[in-house]
Amino acid sequence: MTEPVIDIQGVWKSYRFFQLRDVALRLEPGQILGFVGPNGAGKTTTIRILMGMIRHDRGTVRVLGCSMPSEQAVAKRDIGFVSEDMRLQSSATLGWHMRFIASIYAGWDASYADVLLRRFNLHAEQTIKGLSHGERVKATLLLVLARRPRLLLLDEPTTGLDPVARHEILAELMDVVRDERRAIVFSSHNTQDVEQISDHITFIDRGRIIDSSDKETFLDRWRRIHLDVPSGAVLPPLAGVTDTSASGRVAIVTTKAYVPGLETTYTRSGITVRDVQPMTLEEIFVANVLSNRGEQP
Amino acid sequence: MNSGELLISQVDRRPMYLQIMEQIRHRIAISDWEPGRELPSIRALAASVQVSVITVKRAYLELEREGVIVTRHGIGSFVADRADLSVQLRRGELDEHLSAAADIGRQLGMTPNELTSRLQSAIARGNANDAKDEKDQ
Amino acid sequence: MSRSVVRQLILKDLYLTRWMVVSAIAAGVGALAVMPMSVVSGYVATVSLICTLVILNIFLVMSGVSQERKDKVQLFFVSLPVSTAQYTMAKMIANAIAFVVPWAVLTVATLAVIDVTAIPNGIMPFWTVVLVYLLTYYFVLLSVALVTDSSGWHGTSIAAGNISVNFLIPFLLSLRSVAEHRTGPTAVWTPDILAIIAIEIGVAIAAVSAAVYVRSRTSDFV
Repeated sequence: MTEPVIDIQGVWKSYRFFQLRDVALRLEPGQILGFVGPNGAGKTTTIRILMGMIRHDRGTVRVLGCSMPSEQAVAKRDIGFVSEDMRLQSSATLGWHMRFIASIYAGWDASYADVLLRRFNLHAEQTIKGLSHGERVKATLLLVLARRPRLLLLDEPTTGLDPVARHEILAELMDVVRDERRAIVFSSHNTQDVEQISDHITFIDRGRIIDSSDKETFLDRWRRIHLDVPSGAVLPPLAGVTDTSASGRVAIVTTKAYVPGLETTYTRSGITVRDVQPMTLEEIFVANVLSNRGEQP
Repeated sequence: MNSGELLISQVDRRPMYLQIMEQIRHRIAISDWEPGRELPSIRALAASVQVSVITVKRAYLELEREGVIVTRHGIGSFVADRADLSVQLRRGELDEHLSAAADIGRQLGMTPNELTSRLQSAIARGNANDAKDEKDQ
Repeated sequence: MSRSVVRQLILKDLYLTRWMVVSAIAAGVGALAVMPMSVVSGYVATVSLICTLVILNIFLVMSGVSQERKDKVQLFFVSLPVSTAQYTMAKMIANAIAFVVPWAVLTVATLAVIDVTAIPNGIMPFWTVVLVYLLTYYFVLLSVALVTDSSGWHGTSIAAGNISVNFLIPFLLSLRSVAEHRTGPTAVWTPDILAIIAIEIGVAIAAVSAAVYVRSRTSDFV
């Protein structure tokens, strides 16, 4: 089973004030892809293209082996889609939605749906209108999870949720990848959740992919190095440094190409390395975006 | 195969894979997981701890490199079948504590003799507490 | 599988509009019941019947199409195993059925009431033109709503449709063929009446076709 779940290459899409440029994404079975970017970066557009809701201008889009958007009806049999701006039928009950989905998808697991109802503290008789924001998100996820689709496309699934609800949802998502044929795209600017469960992370900003790598590599390679620079000493230029902020004799260097032993380059120039700090995904995200914008205004 | 006891701290800034490795090593050290015992599958552990699969994979890889676990392809991962493994790991934990103590001693400017005598006092205190506990029972 | 999804989408829309359809039929039948009683009640019934169909029209289009789009509920339905084109077709068909069924019931009922009661049958062509006009108005409004998101266009279409009904009736009454025969005992289907009906049906078909065509050309569903 080596065919990728998602394989898109050279995708372009132009709007009047925004352009998606040369986007490439690849998702292997059993993986969780964290798709991270600021608001307006193009995450939602990309995911809509994956769903066949938007037709790209250039490039190839293959999801679950289907060419999109032409074969979207087939692909969507095995895709679960949740988007933050998506709503359910407000006048109907959660139970109505469950019956509706069950009537369409053979893979609907009624007993798992009941388990999720209890776990998420929802009731089938509740009308959608009466649900809080968090309950509505959980209801939408329930409708998708209980079908056990091979691919989950989640656009900001935990945004605006309280920590308990986020914890419940992350637990269910991790349960999905117990099955190594299934995969998840988790698009969010909530980097804490992404950092926790993603295997691979792709950063997008202003319509372009600015970085893409597996999570451990990101966490290994990005560092903040705290330096004491004696007067007269000059910071040696190093490849991979994205930012240097100096004030008086103290300097903080941000690098995306850290390897153990990098410190000696500084100590050999007479500079004291006070601390080498790992960075959270949020810090990496901000540093990455800012440095990329600095290069390309 | 109860893997629910591993807990990843959000506050601990050390890499997640190191935390997982430490917790697994500790379970083996205190003989909770005995030599030859099968470890949870990578995906099962990832799901129960709610940490990405790639992180658990890395932890298992590093533990195998250390000789603490053995992975049999297609079958699973197992605690290395060495009788002295738990003792060795426990000693490793002791060494870490002692290194930390030595660092502090160095910062305080202590001589090796001063540090050693403090260690002996600590041992004596521990023995006295044990004797007191036995008497109280 | 996607054919059955289309069927489920159509059934879903019909289910959600069931009460409006039933109410429209009930209101229309009520109006028809009082129509033969007197000249005044005849006028009241006429206005009520036309209003019923106009209200049904607007409600179906607004709640079925516009609201679903505005509320982004369409994202939920279009994430099902259907193409965006099939989703639009299902919407079109469901909304067509939801209007045509009560419309057909009321049209037949109107003609039957005219035939059976003392109301002169000569008024039948007039009524037929008006009722088919309301059908056309519905399909034009539905097509506009399916093609555009803009509430400006919707408002314009609704206003234009309402105003045009007010002009249609005096215009029809002034036609020689209507004026001459409307108090007579038999329905006289003159060529100009038939031509008007044909034009109305043609416009309805053209509107629907245009909407389907435009929808299929757009690359962005959302």
